[in-house]
Amino acid sequence: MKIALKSLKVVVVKKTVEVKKDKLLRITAEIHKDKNQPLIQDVRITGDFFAHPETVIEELEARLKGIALQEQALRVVINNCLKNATIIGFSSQDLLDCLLKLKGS
Amino acid sequence: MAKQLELRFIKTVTESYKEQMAIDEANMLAVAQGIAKPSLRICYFKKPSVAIGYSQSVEEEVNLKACNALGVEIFRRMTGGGAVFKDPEKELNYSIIIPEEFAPGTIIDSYEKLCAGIVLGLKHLGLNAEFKPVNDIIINGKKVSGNAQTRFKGVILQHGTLLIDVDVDKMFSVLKVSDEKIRDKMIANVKQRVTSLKHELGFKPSFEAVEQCLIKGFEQALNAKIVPEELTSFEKQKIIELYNNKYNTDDWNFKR
Repeated sequence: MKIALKSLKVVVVKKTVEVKKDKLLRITAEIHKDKNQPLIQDVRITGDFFAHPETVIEELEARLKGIALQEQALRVVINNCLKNATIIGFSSQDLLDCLLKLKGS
Repeated sequence: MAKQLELRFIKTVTESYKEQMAIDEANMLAVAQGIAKPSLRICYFKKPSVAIGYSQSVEEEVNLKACNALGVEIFRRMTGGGAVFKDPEKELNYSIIIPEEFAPGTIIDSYEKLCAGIVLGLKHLGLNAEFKPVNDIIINGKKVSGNAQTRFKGVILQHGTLLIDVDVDKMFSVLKVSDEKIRDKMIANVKQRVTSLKHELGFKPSFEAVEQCLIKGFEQALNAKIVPEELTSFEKQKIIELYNNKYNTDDWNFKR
């Protein structure tokens, strides 16, 4: 099988994005850009928000790995992960908007 | 008739605030397991420290070089919220652990119910304080107390700080700001928004006086009976384990 050399080129970009309303939500991620659709390779979500239970943020980080930076895919992961949690300081939509900012540039 | 809440009153004095974190978790586990009664604790410590919230990054929030130079310890809370400088000479810290049934409703409702203990306590000092959602207490529009909660198996832990005095410049010497270019402006802004009991009263009240007012305030707010009591042997053992295996480790304090 012939593989075009171009397709072997893997680019990982580290990027930090944030939204600040009452609380800060900061996302630092490594984005895998080897395909048309960029993928989250690694992600860390930090800030002064309150998550109940607190560990839901680490669970969310784990579940976001390998997910495409695409609205529907991200929404499914966020909603599934946060459905039994209470977050004070950002909404699911804030989180989604923040993740989608990773796509830019 | 509603069940009356019985609270143990415990005073703990430690070198490091990390030990207070271990006591918090041990108390919470014991109350959740029905091994110990709910508790109101006053936490005294000796080492100036920076406390960061559960989901914060040390690197993003703390000036490590300044902390090392000033001998300021860094620890991670089990609760969310922001980074704060903890000065043992300028603040009174408390921790209250109760079953959720005594502060029902939403998380914000339970903050209001528990913060009422502090608000009422401050009234005994002659101060007109108010709860400001989510988790602050203000006097004359300025923050005097910050609080944070976690929950475990039907039990709420709320801990917080009451500023007896405050040194905002010292606080910012160990904390990073989001934009260094406007550091002075940010510090000036915080000075406008934060107050202390000393500032509001015109004199520095004694820690003992504030402590007594807090006890009265929580008794009123929760219709609680508060009686001095020791930690259980289960808690004492857990404190050692939690301190050695969690709160005094870099794996915990520097995990993000």
